[in-house]
Amino acid sequence: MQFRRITFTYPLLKIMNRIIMDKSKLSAEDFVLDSHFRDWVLHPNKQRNLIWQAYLDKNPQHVKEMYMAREIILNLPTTTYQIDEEEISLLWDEIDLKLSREPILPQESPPVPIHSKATITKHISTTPHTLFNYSLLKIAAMLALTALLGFLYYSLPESQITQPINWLTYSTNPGVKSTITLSDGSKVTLNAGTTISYVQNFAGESREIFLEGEAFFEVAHDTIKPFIVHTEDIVTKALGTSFNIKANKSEKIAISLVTGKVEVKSQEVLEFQDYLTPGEQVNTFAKGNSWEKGSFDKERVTAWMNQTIIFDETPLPEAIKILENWFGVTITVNHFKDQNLTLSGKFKNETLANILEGLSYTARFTYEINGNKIQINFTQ
Amino acid sequence: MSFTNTSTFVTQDTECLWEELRSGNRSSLEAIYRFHINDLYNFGMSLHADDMLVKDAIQDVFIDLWNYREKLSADVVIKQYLFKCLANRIQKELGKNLRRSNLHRMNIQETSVKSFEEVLIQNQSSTEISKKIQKAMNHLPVRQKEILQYLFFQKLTYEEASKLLEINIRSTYTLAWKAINTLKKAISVMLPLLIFS
Repeated sequence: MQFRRITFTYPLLKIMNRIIMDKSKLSAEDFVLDSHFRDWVLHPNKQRNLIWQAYLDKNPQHVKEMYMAREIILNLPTTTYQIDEEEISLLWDEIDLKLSREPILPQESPPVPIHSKATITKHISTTPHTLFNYSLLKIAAMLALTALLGFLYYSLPESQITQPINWLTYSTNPGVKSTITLSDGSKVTLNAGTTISYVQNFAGESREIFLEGEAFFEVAHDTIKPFIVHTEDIVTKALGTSFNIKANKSEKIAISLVTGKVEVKSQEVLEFQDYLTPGEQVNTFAKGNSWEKGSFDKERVTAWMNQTIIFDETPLPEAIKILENWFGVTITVNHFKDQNLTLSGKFKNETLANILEGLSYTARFTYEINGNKIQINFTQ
Repeated sequence: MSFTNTSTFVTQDTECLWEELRSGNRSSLEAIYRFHINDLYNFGMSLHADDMLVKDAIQDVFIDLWNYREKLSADVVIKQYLFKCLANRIQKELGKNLRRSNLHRMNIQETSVKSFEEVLIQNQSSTEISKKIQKAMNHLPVRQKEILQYLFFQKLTYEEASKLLEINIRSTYTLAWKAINTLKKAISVMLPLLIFS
């Protein structure tokens, strides 16, 4: 038949001609990889049937391989993975956030360079740090126990000597912010006056961190080892997310989730436990005193990372504390009478002098800057 | 950047979005994201069915896209370019902790993803063969999954696929051949049954 002869070479794809020299040895793989063969299997029509019929007539030795090829093609998985609209938006927000955040360069951290030794201090100690009194000791004991159990489990004769757990502690002085990358690739941005400690190399089942002060965590993805942040008795557990924790001494602890998912719970009170989704926040006084879940303003919570101070009807004493920590100064207030006085304002990358200047008009005070000692004077 | 803004972008010619991105228009990045995210996610999950890892990788792709926008070349097929970036990213991520990913494959993929597939398979009342192929497919190396995606699901030519994989056409063919060979072996035990049934 004329038709057969003309179209006979058609099934032999260009690619096959180029690559497979010995066409008598075509195997099922080659047929699967031939787009014309696939077209025939998936969308047969009269013309294709004729073409491949002719091919089979000429090459009957291929019938088994062609049969196999057909089975493979027809049974290729058709699974499609869906991502829903909400997740699409969440993922975009995460990208957007990362792009918006300006990198924090060490040299521009303190607008007023008051502390000369304002660098991160790093030290290694073989005993738990004294800063974290109770809960840390508890955890250390727990880890030691885990290690001990581990040794017992493997019960190797040479591992009789208990290895000391090395604690790494990083702290930032008042006036300095800093970003560190932990051994697992997680990034932690420390606000001024903040201390974190953790076991070197994250030995153990999980990545445990102890925090006092404020920090933003971008947790490296690791499904095997959860990332756990301890703030007093409050535990925040994450796998691969970013969140902010504010846990200044004797203040409310605030955990604000920006992306991903975390579990927050108290180790003391069983009912104090919540899962957060992005945009949600837990406010709690440690030791089971209060527990409040709500939403938060992302711009405000992460403002400190963008060198921005936001006062929003902030009581004066609180504002003073923030400024002291931010710039590493001590502020003395004289003739302060109006206990209801609050301050509002947004200061991005401003010097302390500029901030005080701005606030002095609305709050009606004068100020003097003397090195790292500031005097604020209210009239009368 | 509201959603209504982007939807007008989406209807625009996507090649012009690329131009705008290169000239530093941030909203075009979002438009490109919204336009391709479904395909990208599906593609990423096909390479490695780990939701979190794929999302992280997608995130990194777009962050890089923005950070290196000035270095992007003008004539690309956006979708193919994004696929390539994502595949490289996932590959890198998996290479970083190979041992862990193997563990992960055993734990997570076997449990969570397979059960999802099982549901799917039941619905389609598929045969033993497709189960076997599906299973074999899940265990292919990422590069091999990638080539199958390009050839069979994205319907790219060998030339296009070889460019994306940055290997020559012959190697591209060999890579695909190996992948199919694995699938074939997975069902070859059933061959007598197939032929004579």
